[in-house]
Amino acid sequence: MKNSLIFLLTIFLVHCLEAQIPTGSLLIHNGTVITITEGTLENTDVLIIEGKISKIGKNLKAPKGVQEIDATGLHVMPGIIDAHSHLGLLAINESTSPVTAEVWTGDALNPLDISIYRALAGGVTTTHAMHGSANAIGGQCETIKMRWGLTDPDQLRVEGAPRTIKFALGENPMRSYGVSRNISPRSRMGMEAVFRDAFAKARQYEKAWAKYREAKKSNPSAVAPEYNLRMETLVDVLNNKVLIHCHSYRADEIVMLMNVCRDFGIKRIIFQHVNEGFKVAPELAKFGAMASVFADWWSYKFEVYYSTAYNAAILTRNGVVTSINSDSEELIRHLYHEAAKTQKYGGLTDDEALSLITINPAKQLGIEDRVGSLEKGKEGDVAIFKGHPLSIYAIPQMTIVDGIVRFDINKDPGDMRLYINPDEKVMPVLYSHSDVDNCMEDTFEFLFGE
Amino acid sequence: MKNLLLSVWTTIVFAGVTAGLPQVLPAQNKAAELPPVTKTFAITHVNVISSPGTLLEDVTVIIKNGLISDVGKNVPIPGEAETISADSMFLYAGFIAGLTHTGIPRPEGNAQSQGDNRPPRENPVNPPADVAGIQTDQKVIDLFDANEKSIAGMREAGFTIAHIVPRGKMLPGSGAIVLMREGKSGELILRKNTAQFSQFTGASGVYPATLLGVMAKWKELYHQASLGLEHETIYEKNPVGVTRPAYEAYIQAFYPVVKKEQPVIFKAENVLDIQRAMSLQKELGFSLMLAEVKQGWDLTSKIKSQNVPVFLSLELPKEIAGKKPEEAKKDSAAKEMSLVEKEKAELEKKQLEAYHLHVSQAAAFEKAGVPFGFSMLEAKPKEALSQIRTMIKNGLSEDAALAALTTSPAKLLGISNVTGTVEKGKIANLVLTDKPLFEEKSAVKYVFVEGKKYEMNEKPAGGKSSASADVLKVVAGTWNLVISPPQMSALTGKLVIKNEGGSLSGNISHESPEETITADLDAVESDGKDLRFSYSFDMGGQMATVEVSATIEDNKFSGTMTVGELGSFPIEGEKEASPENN
Repeated sequence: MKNSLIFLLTIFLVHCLEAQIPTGSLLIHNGTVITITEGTLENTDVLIIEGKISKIGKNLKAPKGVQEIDATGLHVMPGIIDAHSHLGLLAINESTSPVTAEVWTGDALNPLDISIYRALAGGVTTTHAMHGSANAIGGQCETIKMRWGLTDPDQLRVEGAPRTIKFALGENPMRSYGVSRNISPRSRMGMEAVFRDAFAKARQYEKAWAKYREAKKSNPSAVAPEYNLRMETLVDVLNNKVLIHCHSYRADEIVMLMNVCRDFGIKRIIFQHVNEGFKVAPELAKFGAMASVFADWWSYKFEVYYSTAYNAAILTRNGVVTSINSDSEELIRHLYHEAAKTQKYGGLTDDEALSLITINPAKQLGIEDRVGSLEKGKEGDVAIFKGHPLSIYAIPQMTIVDGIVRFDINKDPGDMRLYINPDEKVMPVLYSHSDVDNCMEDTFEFLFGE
Repeated sequence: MKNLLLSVWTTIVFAGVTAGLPQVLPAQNKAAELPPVTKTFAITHVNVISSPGTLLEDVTVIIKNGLISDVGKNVPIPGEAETISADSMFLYAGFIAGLTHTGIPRPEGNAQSQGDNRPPRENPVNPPADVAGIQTDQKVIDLFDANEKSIAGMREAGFTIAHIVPRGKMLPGSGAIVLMREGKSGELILRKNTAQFSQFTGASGVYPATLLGVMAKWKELYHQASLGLEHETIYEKNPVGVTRPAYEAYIQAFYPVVKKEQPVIFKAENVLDIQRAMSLQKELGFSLMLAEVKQGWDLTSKIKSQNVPVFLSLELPKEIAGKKPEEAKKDSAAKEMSLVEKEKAELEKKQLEAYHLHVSQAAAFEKAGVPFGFSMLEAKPKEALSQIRTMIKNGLSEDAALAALTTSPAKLLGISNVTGTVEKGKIANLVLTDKPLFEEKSAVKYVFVEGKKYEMNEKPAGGKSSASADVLKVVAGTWNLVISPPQMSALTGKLVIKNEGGSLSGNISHESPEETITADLDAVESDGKDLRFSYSFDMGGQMATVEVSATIEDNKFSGTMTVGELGSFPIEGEKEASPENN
């Protein structure tokens, strides 16, 4: 008996150890601390203990054994958050069905993706690892931290972050299905029908299961309806347990999806790209929808011609919680520049501009109580810059995740890859601009097949 | 730019040229087999390694009716026995392969481009289970063919038992343990329905096509099977008033997995696949086995604590000549180098480190006290011993190596009561070598499979064959190409590889609807087994680089070509003529 107890205890401990994510303690000394939410503090220290910010103030003493970082003359800001990224994933699009709510990028995390380290070098600590935009209802996404060096996929996850799911409107799903394979949706009308149909079926499914659970109480021989993971997920979406992040461009379809959501009682939606968001900013604000936009990227397909670099500023001024995202493994390295563009186009204040890449994307991912600003009790995710982060001369110096230095410009060897393939041959570099947008990765054969 | 590239390539692949693929030769006629003169053998004066670390010198082993009937110093030799005088030879238990596709014929025609067998791509959304890669109800014993030539290949390398599974996608079916001798297929089966085989492989062109879909489908299937089982139990208890359970073969075939009566053996090569399989196991609770593991060195304690049976891949990376990582370090420090040279040296150093991690994986498992066997989904049997010698050179003990070939897989597969050691009463699966097994020039002389004697010819077991003149002989010449872009008609072409002063060069031409693409190769590399080359061509104003990586076997190669960012397609080549002497 005793032995088996010890055995169980051992198993329990082993499981605990496995789930544990390493954290560190640090004192960042004498920097210009941009808290985002509580102003900018000169000559201030930030103390991180076991991964959490324990104090922000002047002349803090580091507990014994805690590493000190001299940030004199440097800017200390919360780690940058990207609400739209595909890095750290082994697969992006399950582009075989217009509705794939059941799939989850959390099943395909790749902690060995060198892009994670490169993002760190741009001050990024958290990304939203999203499904692609080939499907009307794509897969569930995973919020991850840039814990470069860990090789267990589970250790990338922001444990406890709300579930999110990718939706997509417009040309991508239309050409993935209607145009190339003669499957609905072929048009924007079809898009709406796909959403309504999926939600209506999910309600039916939910009812069938509720009926079964009720019956099971009095009748042990009651038989369960067919289990369907897609419907299970959509039921959770309908019940506001999953945040919708929807790839969108045109104002009309943005309004369409808000109407669909309203009809089905869905309250939490974040529009991604949302290039025509400026046309419907008041409507977005009224609904409580949020927006995650590019600073100035458009015209890469027909539906993205009508765009403006003032989008983020207009949305912000209309009270829409707005973020600036990268959707790119290159852009993610200078999101601070992207945020700065809103000062040229729209005159946002420093805090407003930096909010676009910190606290606002945190809100869009439902983790604003944990990250996105430098506040006591929040997680120790910090980016340290030489120069103000909104300056064109800004250079990230050090990026800290959970109190652990994961990037240091002064300790940055040329080759940071993990698990190198010994058979790999280095091929000549083919310069191309085609790899910046991988929203439609893995869809080649469907788009250009017979 | 991408769109332009895509459209040009699209027009190329629309060519609609049908490629006549070489016909597979019909199965050879076998002369009617005569029954053996005797089924009793005496191997005399032999050194028996009865189990790893246990040497019995100068003993006699009697084989009778397929079993080891005696082992000892002064055992009587039956009158009907054929005696094999094995003075100074070494006798081992027959090897056991933890996971292979031995004895399963490949699909007719060209496995790489089964264009015609593919489902119509108009309906990728909800394909039938088998098209989706869910073939849980498929049994490998129904596919197993005792006349398939891969069985002899395994036997020649000393393997007497293999755990075989079907080829396929995410869930190809359940496995069996079979003996590597001749006979009727049914006679060779030692255990059936051993484990469900699973891989993280999507179905091509239909749901689930990617890792994302495979994982979702796996979880869904598991829940469906759990509920189906519950439904069936309720119905069996009392069917009155209960909806009759529908019969769905692929779900029912998964019941033993849900009941933990049948384990799932996952092909999990890399560090991520291994952890993903283990996470899935933790979430759902089935019994898990891992196979074809190539990058497990950081996970030994995790595998140990979850108590997962593991089979390491016998496929190792290509040898990176000579140097140990420390020496490379010294080299790069010593010389004054340009930035490019420095970067290259750094890169090579890291690759060398990675190589050493791969070849010392088995040693890492031994050190961690995790017993393991070997799997051979990809490794060629004739290279098995030389690969194991490489592992031994990199820290694996000879006893652990022998255990991984015999006692450990027997235990992990639940057959240690009948095989795995040289002991009285066990199946007469034996390997007789002229020198200790892991010595460089040791050769397999005889292999017994269930008492059936096979005498091997003279070539040293697992010896290396390639030399640079041999490489030229294999590679140089004209190759007819068949390129198979996804779900489209194949394209044909020609590849010429020449020997220019001892190094390889060449040119390629292949079809497209507008014009034939012709290009000189930028680089060609080969060791006689693997072939890599690259070339560039003008694709609507932009130079596109094509990289090809293939494996050569018997005047044919098959591999993949990668066209810029567009993706990878299968490519096959067959050699046409001998090269001119130039």
